[in-house]
Amino acid sequence: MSTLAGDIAVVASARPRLHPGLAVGGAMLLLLVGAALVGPRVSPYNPNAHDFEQILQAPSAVHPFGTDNFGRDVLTRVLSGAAIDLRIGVLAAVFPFMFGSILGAAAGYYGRWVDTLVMRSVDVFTAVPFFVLVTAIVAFLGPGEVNIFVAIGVAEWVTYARLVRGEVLRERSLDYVAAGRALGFPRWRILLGHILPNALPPAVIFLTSDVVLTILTTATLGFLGLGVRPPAPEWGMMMSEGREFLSNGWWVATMPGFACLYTGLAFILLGDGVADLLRVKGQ
Amino acid sequence: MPLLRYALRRIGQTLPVALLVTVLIFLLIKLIPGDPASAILGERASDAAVQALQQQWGLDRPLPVQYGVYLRNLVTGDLGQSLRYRTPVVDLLPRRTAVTLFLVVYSMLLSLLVAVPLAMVAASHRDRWPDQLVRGLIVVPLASPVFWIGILVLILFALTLRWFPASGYGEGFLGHLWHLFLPALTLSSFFTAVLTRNLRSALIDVQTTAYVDFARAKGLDRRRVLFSHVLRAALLPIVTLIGVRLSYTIGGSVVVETVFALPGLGSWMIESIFSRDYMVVQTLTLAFALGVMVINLLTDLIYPLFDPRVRMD
Repeated sequence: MSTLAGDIAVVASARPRLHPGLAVGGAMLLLLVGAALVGPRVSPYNPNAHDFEQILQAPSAVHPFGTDNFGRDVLTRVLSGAAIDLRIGVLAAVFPFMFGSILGAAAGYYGRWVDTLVMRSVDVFTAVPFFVLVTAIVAFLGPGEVNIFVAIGVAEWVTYARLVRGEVLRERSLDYVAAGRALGFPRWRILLGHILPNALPPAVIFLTSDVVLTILTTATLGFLGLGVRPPAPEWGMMMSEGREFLSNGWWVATMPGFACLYTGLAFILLGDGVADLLRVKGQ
Repeated sequence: MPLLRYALRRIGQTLPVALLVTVLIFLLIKLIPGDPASAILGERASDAAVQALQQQWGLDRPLPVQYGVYLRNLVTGDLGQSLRYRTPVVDLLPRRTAVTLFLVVYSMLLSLLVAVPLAMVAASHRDRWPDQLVRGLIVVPLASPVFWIGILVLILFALTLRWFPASGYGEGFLGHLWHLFLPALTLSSFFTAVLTRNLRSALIDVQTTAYVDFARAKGLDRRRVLFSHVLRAALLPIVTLIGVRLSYTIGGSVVVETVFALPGLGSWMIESIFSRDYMVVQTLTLAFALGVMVINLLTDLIYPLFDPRVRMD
């Protein structure tokens, strides 16, 4: 299947060695991280300070993204929010990647009851729609950053378990594993040191694109009021607050969404790049 | 009857999973920090009320017994009480389900209606500007939150152009179609993108097969080849895609119903979270899970009827 990165390849063929998806996606991400680090420091505004003389100002040279109902500068808040949404989104994807991969590897390698246990659990967790399960877990645990990690982790580990199990099953029957056994290596060493490095690439490819899903989920939880607590400038929460002013201040609810879209695009491009890179290496 | 045997086996595979899903969802209530009964009744509840609720749910008894009580209640149709509406959940369920079902089916149909022409345009102009435009457009719903698309659609079509209502469910079938257009459009955006992407590559693949070459060699009209040969073959795998993506669409409906203030299952779930109506949240989670399982089962059962190549043993 063709990718977005493939489209850009036509335009950006000037640098043949660096993958265009990696280059463009990586540059976009670096720019965002840089803006998130530097932006709030150089901005003349405090992301959480109220200024009642500047309420709901339309985008202008002084406030490029306008101001919200408390007179806070939306651009400064979007930039400070980048740190929150990026951090939660990336970590929320890394945790299920880790324990999903471990469970999947164990299932594929040890087989028998371990495999049955893990794979039946995968069936059960997949049966509940992802976002419904995440919402339900946050509903019972309560809002907050750690609970978001738990909720997304519980709902998302299944994909990694399934991916890694499949790869381990394939690798297990290859000659180098038999050679390791003949040399008398312990089973855990064969699994962790030899099979896992070869079985992980599909999970790593998925991880890069999965960050898009976890960032969007984080923003959605914030939008529903189940994310981090106010007044943190989390993107989803900002858009939720802006819903009351759609007709007289459209920028409050829409501007953070563009930041989400930008971040999502960056990770999709990066994911395409990583996929091409690892597939080429694997062949 | 191989078809009947196939159907029975698929149902036999689904039932144990469904039972384990009830265990998972039963355990959700254990995630509440502290005592569930006092969390549900709030800080001002009397000790007697807390104890009564504990007894009613069997919270003072061992875990397997509690699950037994939960399962017995489910089977007998006792899905709990909505503390907020002071009515049994069962009584509110059908009306709310109708809204969500209408929204989800509507959005799936819109997806097909939009994705098929988009994919055909893209595939027949491969790598030229119409193709690149389509491929650029469909990245937007994949990279942005669905509620944000809802907000954009709301600002543009409801508040600025005033073509469609901003909220509500409407009266009668036509009223529902009218009121749910923007929510369904919003909800459909993600699936439309996935569908367009898959259908585009399927169309390109099918166009290079021998039987399409043969149809063209026979001198058949290009358009006729495209519609009756290529599109038909490319649409088949899409049926399974609907099953897979349904889960995402259902999840999206929770958010979209909240954005457009629709009285469906999803907005009910969110309301219930904030009014600490935990039993409703639990029951709705189960309803969503079982609903998706049933629809996936149905797609699996229907698929062999469309595609005789699927082996049923």
